[in-house]
Amino acid sequence: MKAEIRGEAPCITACPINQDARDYVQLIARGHFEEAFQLVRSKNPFPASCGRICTRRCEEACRRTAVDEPIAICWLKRFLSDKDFTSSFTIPQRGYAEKVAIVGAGPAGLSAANDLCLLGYRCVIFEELQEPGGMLRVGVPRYRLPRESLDKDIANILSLGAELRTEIKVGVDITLADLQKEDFKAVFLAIGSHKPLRLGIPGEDLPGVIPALEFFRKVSLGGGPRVGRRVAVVGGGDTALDAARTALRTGAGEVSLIYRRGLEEMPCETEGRKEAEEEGINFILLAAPVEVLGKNRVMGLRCIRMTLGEPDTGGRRRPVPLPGSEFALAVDNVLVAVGQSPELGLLARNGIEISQKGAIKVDEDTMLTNVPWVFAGGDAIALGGTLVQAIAHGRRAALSIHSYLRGERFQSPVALEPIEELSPAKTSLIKREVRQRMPMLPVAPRIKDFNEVELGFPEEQAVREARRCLNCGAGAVVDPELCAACLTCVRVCPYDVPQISLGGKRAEIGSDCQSCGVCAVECPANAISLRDRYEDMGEKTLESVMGQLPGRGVSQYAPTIVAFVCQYDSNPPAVAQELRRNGVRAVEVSCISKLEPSTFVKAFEMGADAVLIVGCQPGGCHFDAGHAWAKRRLDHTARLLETMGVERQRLQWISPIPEEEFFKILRDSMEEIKKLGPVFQTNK
Amino acid sequence: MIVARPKSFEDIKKLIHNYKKVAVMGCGGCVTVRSIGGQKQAEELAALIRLWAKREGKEMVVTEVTLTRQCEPEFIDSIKERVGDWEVVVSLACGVGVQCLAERYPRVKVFPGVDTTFMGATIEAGLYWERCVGCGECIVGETGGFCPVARCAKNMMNGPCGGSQGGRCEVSPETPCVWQLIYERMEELGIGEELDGIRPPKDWSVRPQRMVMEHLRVEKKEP
Repeated sequence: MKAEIRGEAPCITACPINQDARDYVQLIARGHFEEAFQLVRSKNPFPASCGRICTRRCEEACRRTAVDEPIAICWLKRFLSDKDFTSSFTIPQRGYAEKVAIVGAGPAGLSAANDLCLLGYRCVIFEELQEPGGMLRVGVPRYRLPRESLDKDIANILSLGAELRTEIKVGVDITLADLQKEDFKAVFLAIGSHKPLRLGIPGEDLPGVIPALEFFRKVSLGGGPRVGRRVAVVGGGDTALDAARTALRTGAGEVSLIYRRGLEEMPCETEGRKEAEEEGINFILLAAPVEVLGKNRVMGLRCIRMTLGEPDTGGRRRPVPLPGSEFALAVDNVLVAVGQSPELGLLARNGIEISQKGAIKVDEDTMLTNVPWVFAGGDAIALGGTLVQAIAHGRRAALSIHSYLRGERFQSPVALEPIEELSPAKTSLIKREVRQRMPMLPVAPRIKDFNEVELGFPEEQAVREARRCLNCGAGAVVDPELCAACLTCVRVCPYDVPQISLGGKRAEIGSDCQSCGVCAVECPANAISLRDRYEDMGEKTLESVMGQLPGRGVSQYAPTIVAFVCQYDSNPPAVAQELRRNGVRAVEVSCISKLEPSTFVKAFEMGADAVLIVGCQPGGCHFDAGHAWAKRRLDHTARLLETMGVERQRLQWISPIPEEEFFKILRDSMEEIKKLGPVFQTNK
Repeated sequence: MIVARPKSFEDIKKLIHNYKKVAVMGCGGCVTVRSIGGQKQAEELAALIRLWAKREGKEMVVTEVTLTRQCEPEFIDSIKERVGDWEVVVSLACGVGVQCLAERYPRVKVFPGVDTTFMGATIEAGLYWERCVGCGECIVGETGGFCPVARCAKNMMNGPCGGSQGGRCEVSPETPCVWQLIYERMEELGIGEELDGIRPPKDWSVRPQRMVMEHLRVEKKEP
């Protein structure tokens, strides 16, 4: 019986698809990249796209923010997606007979197709445009989401078996009735939201006023409209920023972005905004256009200053015009990026109910429309939605369609609750570690073309970033049946987390636990374990590496060496490679303070001639206190082993940095160990 | 609580070196709380013994067991089916637990794996100090809450002696003179004059001690 930490890490609960952010970050920290990728891919069909343009609710929720800065979760996902792993799914051999039609090959539609294929359904995706991708293809410029990355995600999804039919517009080329005739048993409408909203001001129809999406489309087709030297962009979201940055890349010299609220209120990603600032986009905040000036073409834009008034129903402060504050900008083009709405006329004629706001009306639980076999999701039901929201809709719709087709009641997934916030008293005890910066193209060359601006983390940087993760919600748990209330955990915890409440009989370890493992090792009753599913405190891994004992050569003695390797404060892939090269069996553990003295002893018992501890230097420990605990236990064990004649050199601590030195010390130690001969040679 | 210290591995080797079937037995009571003889320590000692045996080329089967408390007949009985598998039990319990095992299972050799040292308190993490000897006649009510029997090197009933120097005991400078503490506390409490009389010698005659709690006694009929 375990006293569970109540709740889950906030990075996981904040995500619409409950992506296992903490867990894949922990796997990256340990250098297990492929496993991390598969974990990501198991819930997210768009790792390459999400890893670039996600709105990162996980990072907003990250508890590390209270200490310094959030973990760069999104960029770590991108790191995995850049690694050319392919998903390893098995499609059920005997699927279901029913066919499902998916309308729209955007993120919602493709996500539904992904999951329906995995459930065993045949899917056909109908796409109006020439290529799949939806808004990811037509609404996000290549310098933020390269086509190869998007194509990689889509190819991976389509490899699961969905059929894609492009340039078919449902409602025009094929009706819902036709789909029924074609024996489709369910339809998922994921038509997105592609009809630009208008400014509703005089002069809007002048040539030179271009909706952002149309602008992108023409630019991506090549030979599109070269904008004039001075361009104004109206809007404050990611599309507006992209319109401005695209204008810069297609010849504009002076680009102004006009937004009616302030910088803080801009509904866009901070990183993208900073990049736009670097590129020299001129932000005109608290201003709104009132008239496009010009006769036969755009000559300028008249605007009015705004101020923020009372909050509206959504809680955001409403912008109010300041009388008499009008001003004019001389511009050659106006790009409009104030939002899109779905094209629903055709659907309405097919009997699909539309909400007052102009979106498809669905039951939010089942994603079902008013037509019993028709489901909908994505931007078509959530105006101004996000990529991850669309994926969530697609995935939920797939489950709901599955229930519908099997005649079962849809059981919506249980919403996860986050663990409590990190208590302020703990933040000063947690070591500060700077968030890794994204390597980027320099501004001057990048605004000349559409090459990807963010270059992605190299391996070492990714690992370093991932190690900052506080592993929230995966810490120590106490088995109340074993706990002796001895107070050891209360006394040894470097973060003062465990408590025995007054009058209490058992220790309780709350969600502020940092998973250092000191208490788990020191608990005399073996009542404490770690919730972290990737942490076995070295035990099982030791068994598995020692299981691969080669037969000893008769002619030449090669010592069997086990190295317990701390996954912090080193470059795990490089260290692992060097150890492998030297034939050392590596047992990875996230901090040496998670190792029990008996684990060292067991390594010898299982046949090791020597045990190396590849651990941090003083001051280098991720947990600060872990180093001293580990050293103490090592000394204790070495003394015990000496009493039975096991030489001190057979249990050594080597620091993995600096790397060059480590390689040399490792070789020297191995020589020394070899000279000692086998640990069991005596056989008295 | 009872405090013990681990016997050296040298000592344990001497106790078990002639045997092949060894159990290392932890106790979930005092020695667990003191991180001396809990399940964790039993595992650690068992691992050491196995390694040593392997190095010595001895065939030895080492088992680890931890009883909830080794001083209770019911818990001791819980291993009666298995005890025949062992020639030797190394008990990590206090001297009480070791003897309970030895009495209950006369055919097995029971060896202590720890040296039971005293009844003491935690002063801070990892530091315990003797506070009581279980003399059977508590007098700390008369001595300001400090026990001279347990804490005076000479167990003096009327102190301090001439070896009390600067508040420290001549036996060890780390040890405060308990009689100094007693005088200071009694003065603080305003009852220093109570120490003016002479306390008679303690009666050490009744050993071993025995206690009966009549209200807990149960007569059970044989089924």
